[in-house]
Amino acid sequence: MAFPLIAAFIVVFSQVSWGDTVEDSLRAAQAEMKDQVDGINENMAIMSTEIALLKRLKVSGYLQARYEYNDTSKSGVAGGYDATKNLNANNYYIRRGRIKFTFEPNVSSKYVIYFDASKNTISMKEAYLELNKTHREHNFKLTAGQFNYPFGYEIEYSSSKRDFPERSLAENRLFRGERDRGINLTWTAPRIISANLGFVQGYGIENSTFTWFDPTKQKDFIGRVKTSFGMIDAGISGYWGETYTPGSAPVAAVPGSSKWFDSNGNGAIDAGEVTTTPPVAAKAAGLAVNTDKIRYGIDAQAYFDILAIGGTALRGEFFYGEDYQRTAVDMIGTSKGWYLWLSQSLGTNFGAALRYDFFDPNIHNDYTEADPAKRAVLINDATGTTSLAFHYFWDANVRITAAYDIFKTLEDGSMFSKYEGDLDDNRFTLQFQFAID
Amino acid sequence: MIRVNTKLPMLFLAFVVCGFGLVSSASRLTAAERVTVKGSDTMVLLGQRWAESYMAKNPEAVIQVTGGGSGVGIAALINGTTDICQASRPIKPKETQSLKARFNATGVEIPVARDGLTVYFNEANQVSELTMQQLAGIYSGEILNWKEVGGDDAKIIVYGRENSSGTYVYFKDVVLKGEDFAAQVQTLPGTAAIVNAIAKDKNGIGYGGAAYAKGVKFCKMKADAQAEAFAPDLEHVKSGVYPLSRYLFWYVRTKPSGEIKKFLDFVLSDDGQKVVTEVGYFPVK
Repeated sequence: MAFPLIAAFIVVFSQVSWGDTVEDSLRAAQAEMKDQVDGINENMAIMSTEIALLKRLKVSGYLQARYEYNDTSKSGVAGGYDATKNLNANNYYIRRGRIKFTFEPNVSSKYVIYFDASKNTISMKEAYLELNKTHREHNFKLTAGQFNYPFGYEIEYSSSKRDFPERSLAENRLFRGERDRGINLTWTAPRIISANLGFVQGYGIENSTFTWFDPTKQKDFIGRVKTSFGMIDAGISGYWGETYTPGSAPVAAVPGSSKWFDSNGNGAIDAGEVTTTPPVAAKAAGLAVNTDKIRYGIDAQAYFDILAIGGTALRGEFFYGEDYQRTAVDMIGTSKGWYLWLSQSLGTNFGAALRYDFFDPNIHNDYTEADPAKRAVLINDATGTTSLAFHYFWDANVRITAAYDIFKTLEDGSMFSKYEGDLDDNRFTLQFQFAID
Repeated sequence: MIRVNTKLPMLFLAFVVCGFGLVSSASRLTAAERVTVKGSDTMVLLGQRWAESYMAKNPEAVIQVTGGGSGVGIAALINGTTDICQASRPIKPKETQSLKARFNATGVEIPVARDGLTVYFNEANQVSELTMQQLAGIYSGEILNWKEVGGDDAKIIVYGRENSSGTYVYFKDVVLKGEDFAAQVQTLPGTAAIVNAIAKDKNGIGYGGAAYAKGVKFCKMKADAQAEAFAPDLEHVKSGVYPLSRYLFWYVRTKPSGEIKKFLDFVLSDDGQKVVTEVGYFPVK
């Protein structure tokens, strides 16, 4: 009887002991697993915080690799006609290589720095901070640093989006570099209207004389009001500032003279043997002066959904500028320019555009220049450019553009008729662009 | 010296244009009936159900639906990688400007469903209603303990969505009036993740579409302390008395045509709106 009892005790005891061991080991495994999961959770929390921080830093930019063929060697690359330079007119080059860093830790402030590596230089295009405040659906934004002029439509319209290789001639001449340093306040009202008020240096970022400082104490005032009614956007802009012109040395009077060279030796005055030099009027030393610099602009864009092939846009802009000019008679020179730009989407992969761009850099003193040779140039100094562009959107990032620009020097007083001395200087551009938004 | 005249580049241009045209035409032939839908995570389930129902009736059609967030969907619409964007918030003026720049179009907005943005609590939570001001206080970090809104003495664990979400933007605009979320708000990558977190977290609070409120309880909302509290149900969302009622949208670049229009017509039909109810949202009609 004793043996079975002992055997049963051993079996029960061993089962209890085995059961406890299994439970303990399960508990231990559970605890270990819990520790591991807690560890992973902790790491995930740290990673989430780090990723959230990284997401606040945004990198954007674009690269434009370009082939450009000009009909004549005197058509400058990417800058229009330049009679003083015999530039090579058949080039491969990097037109833009831009990278922009935007750090937005929260909605109330933002930091932006924007570089360009193109042709053979690296330059800083923009560097600014932005403070944002919302009050009852009104947004206020204060920008301080180096930024786009808040003027017109085309200046702020990125080259990565534009249909044509270059901006309009008026914009290029009146707002060279498109950027300046200063402060700018933007007010955006609910839905329809927004306005900018800014104070800037006035010399832009591509002025070679005043590279970063403003020789005038007064700061230039710039303002823009724009509105959007869905299909139609429109804006007006104004710029009132001062330009500093350094003094100039006096000019002594030189009488006009004629020289006869008897080139065929026949003793008679034949055609082409007399050279006449016009008189040069005496001119007093010019004082250094601060003078007005004024710009006005109107722009409008309309978007139509009438063709089954895609959206159609018609954009237009008018520029007017006044600048001091130190010529034979010192004066305020006025210039004007405008463009009309038709853009058509062709499905999701193609696009086409047509633009006519007019610019007259010198309106009212075309007839006041004393030197007939200079006057002849001034009279025919207006340019009319017809541009055609065709795009293929390779994917969400890549666009391939083929464009053709027809440059015309215009007849005196005309906005469309070609001057008889117009050069054969049309330009073909093929551009490959990669953009990160 | 090799001389190149203008004919050469023009011939090259013609070659480029014809080449790409042919490639593009070929790809279009294979994708003739395909429609892509991308955007709001709040709407991804709804979009998938619409696509399944539509494809069952139109076997030749191929509808691809993906999420990613309203911001991602609108970006895809702008860069041409989706035909339809689903968004739980209206398009922003800056996004419309981008659409104008890329497609010369202002975009077409179509409300396809209504939603009551729902605030979720754990089922063990004693609190059952909040005012809009209290909700804003919790998400801006001014209210940190449940006892401040009539609950237990416990720290409030706040969950929210990432900033690509339309629900995030809607919440920020409507509840926080544009102010910042508090730093302690834990960001999760989707409404399902928020619901899952709150189901496990007794002291959690989160927000999302009404269709996802499974395994958690929803909070009744009051416009202010004196107002009546309403639940996010059909009656109160449709009548607009629920203070967090909103539309859910579809965006297309230009006036819809072809397969996109046929799909849209289905979505707005009685059958399509029935799907809305089945998924847990509210019809627009």
